[in-house]
Amino acid sequence: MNVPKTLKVDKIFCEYEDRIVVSDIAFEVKTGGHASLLGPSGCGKTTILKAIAGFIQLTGGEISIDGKIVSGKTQFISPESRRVGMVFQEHALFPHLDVEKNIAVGLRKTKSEKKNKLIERFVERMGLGPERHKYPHELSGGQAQRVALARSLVCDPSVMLLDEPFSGLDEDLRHKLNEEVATILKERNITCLMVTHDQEEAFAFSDKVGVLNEGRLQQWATPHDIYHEPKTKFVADFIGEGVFLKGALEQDTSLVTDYVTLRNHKIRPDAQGSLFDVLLRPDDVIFDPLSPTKVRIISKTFKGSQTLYNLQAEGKQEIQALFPSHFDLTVGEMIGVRFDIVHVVAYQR
Amino acid sequence: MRSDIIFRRLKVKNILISDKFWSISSAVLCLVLMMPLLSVIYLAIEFNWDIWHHLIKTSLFHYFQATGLLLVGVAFIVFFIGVGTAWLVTMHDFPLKSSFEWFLIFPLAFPSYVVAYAYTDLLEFSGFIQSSLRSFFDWGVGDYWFPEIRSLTGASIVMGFVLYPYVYLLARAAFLEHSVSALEANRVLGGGPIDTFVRVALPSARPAIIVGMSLALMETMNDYGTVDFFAVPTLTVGLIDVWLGMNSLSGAAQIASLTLSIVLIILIIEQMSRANQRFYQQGSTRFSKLPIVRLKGFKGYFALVYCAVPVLIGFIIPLIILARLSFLYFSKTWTDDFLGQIGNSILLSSVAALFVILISLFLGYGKRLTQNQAIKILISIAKFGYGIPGAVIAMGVLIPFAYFDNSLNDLLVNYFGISSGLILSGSIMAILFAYVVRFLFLGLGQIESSLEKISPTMDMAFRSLGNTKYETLLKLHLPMLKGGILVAGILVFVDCMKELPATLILRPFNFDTLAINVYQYASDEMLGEAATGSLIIVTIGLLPVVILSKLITDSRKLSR
Repeated sequence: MNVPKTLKVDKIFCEYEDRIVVSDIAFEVKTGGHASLLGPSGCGKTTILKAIAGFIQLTGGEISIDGKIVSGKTQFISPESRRVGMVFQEHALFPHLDVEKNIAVGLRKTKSEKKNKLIERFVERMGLGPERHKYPHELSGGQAQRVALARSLVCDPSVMLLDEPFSGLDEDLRHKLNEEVATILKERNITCLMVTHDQEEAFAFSDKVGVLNEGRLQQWATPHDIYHEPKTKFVADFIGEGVFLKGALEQDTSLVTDYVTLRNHKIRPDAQGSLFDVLLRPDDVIFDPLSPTKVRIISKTFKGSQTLYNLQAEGKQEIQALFPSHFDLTVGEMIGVRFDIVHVVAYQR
Repeated sequence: MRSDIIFRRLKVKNILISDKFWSISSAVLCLVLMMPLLSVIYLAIEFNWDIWHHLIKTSLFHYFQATGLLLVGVAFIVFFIGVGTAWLVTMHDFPLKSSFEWFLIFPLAFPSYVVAYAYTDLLEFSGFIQSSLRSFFDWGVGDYWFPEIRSLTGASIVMGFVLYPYVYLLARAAFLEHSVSALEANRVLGGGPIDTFVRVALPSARPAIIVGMSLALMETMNDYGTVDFFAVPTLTVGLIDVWLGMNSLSGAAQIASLTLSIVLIILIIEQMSRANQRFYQQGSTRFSKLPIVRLKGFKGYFALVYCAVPVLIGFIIPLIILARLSFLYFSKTWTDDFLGQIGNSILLSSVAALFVILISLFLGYGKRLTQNQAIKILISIAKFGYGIPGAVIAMGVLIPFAYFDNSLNDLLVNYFGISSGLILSGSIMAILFAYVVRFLFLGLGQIESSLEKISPTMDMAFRSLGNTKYETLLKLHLPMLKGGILVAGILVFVDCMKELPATLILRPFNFDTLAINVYQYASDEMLGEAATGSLIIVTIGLLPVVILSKLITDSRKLSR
């Protein structure tokens, strides 16, 4: 019953008071696909959502849903006619309506028999049975977010937009709800775009992630590639932990850094003699008492199953490493490490 | 935050019909509403030494002295009753405590002049108390001393016991919003309950208490009925005497400017405290469980009496006196004229309430939609009418209206030889305008806070669920504003019913309202005839009190 609904954003620009807040952004979310836009606050990610929903007009480019242009040079379909579902961080439930009536807002034109059936189904699916006659101020954060989601889903939207939907909730609930929402959207095969500043959330939720900075799309790729093969230094820096090792490309095209010499890189050989920043993730560093490379533990941060160590070899750069926390090494101790860098990420200086 | 800016922009783009049109008309409307204030200031600027000389030589000092003493007296009473009762009912448990929590606001239903009439009936020479004393002890005239109610002290007491609920309400809210941890921290550090009150609770509730006291003092400045009846020569009395008695408009304007400067000082203190209040209440946990102290034995009864006295003096005793008088004089009062006056009052107050609501909606949306800071400030200033005494507003309304009438009349006489007479200044329009200026605050305050609850994301959510702009206004905004509009309407209606000085000055010839009826009978020392009208005013005045007490009981449910 679900026809293919792709969301295509084609080189869009948005301006606010003559300042460009979104610049030349293009990506596509396939039918039933889940994508996230990730970036620091003020990077323009929410603006893109509002543009897709039709609350902001573009100053360039076009947006199409299911092949039909909804925002473009000559066409503009008003928000109420786009059939785009939207869920906000602050839920935006209507305080004067109870849970059932909130869910029913978008079903004005549906016949009452069908309407009741739909509401019933979503109340059940979202586990809101006991809450159905409660008012928004009587709901917990998680319940409110479920209502907001049901309210959008019940209208059978062509595309679902989620604006930081889990950020007001506590850690535990956030993970649970994230999974739950992803499952519900998948089972209905709904195309979905989420905006968040939490990378874990984005990775868990989506098959594609876009990283934004200052209104520009830095990279659009799978979570794996975003983490392991960041296209720009901003992405490498913004996503995950790690440090940049200073490196140089030698005559024999080996990339030499303080700690390790790399050959499995993809740098073009004509960059010989240039200086590079080489990304070293904490999980690239392996604890190995037999290794000849010895480093001193400068400090450590306990993170539950793992501990993040700041390490430094005599007269060299400081690096970070993640070891299982049961090792429990002491600060000041000298330990052996080796490096296992599968994806070499290097940026010419 | 960028997203905030974008949200604001969205409001403009999506809800508004025309941004510019709305902003400009809001600004014009505000200026019209500020006209009375501006014309009083304009008139006062025309400094006339002769008038000042005369005023200083004759009565100005007395006006100042009486006003000052009255303000001090009222401030003293409202502070001790308001703060004391609020502290007792929020932090303690004693007999009847939960009834007192809402009963303590009931004196708000009384205009102070009505209480003044009631106590005069009770305490004057021929009143119940003195007559009883005389017959009991067999005293004759002049054999004994009895305090004179019709005095400055009497006026302070009457107003203090009617106006303390302002302080009570705000102090109570502040105590409820207290950071419990701060109170507990002081207890853990070894402070007793009284020490905690003086060192932690009182200082952190101070801004709220000052706001409450300022409101009470502004009401004191506004009063004409009480001080006129008790012959206390305050600035308001002076203003009306000089204007209507000595027929000196510019003299009255000078007094009005003095009154305004006092009010302005109170208003500034109030606004500063409001700003502080936000700061003090930051991060406090609303309605968290307060450490309630159970007062046993003597202490419990003391608390009971402390709360009962203001309710008795400010509400129950005057109510009984009025009910008795009204019963005795009912057939004399209940005439066709009286019914006509009730009709006038209701009509006038309803129309004023309607105007206030419409203007508040217009300005409320204007403020929400505009980007222009100047217009936002203008709208905030237009609200300050609530601080300006009715007599001053009346004067400010009459000056431009009379100017308009005279100009039009001159024009018509000169060119066509016909006279237009008084079109605006002697009309209902003048009263309505004064009411709107004075009570806009009540309407706009309500509507602004209702509008704040409709977040821009809510607008977006509603639209993305298939509703157009106009459907959003009609089906989302209107239902959400309904409660605020209703409350605003009731508040304005009731305050218009009670309003005396502006109505007295501005009413058209032979146009009487209920408040005027009461005032005139009382001035003629016919308190019995004034009772039924007073009772009706008080009954209507109970409406907002009931709304408030419902809010109080709701808040208590939340705090438990």
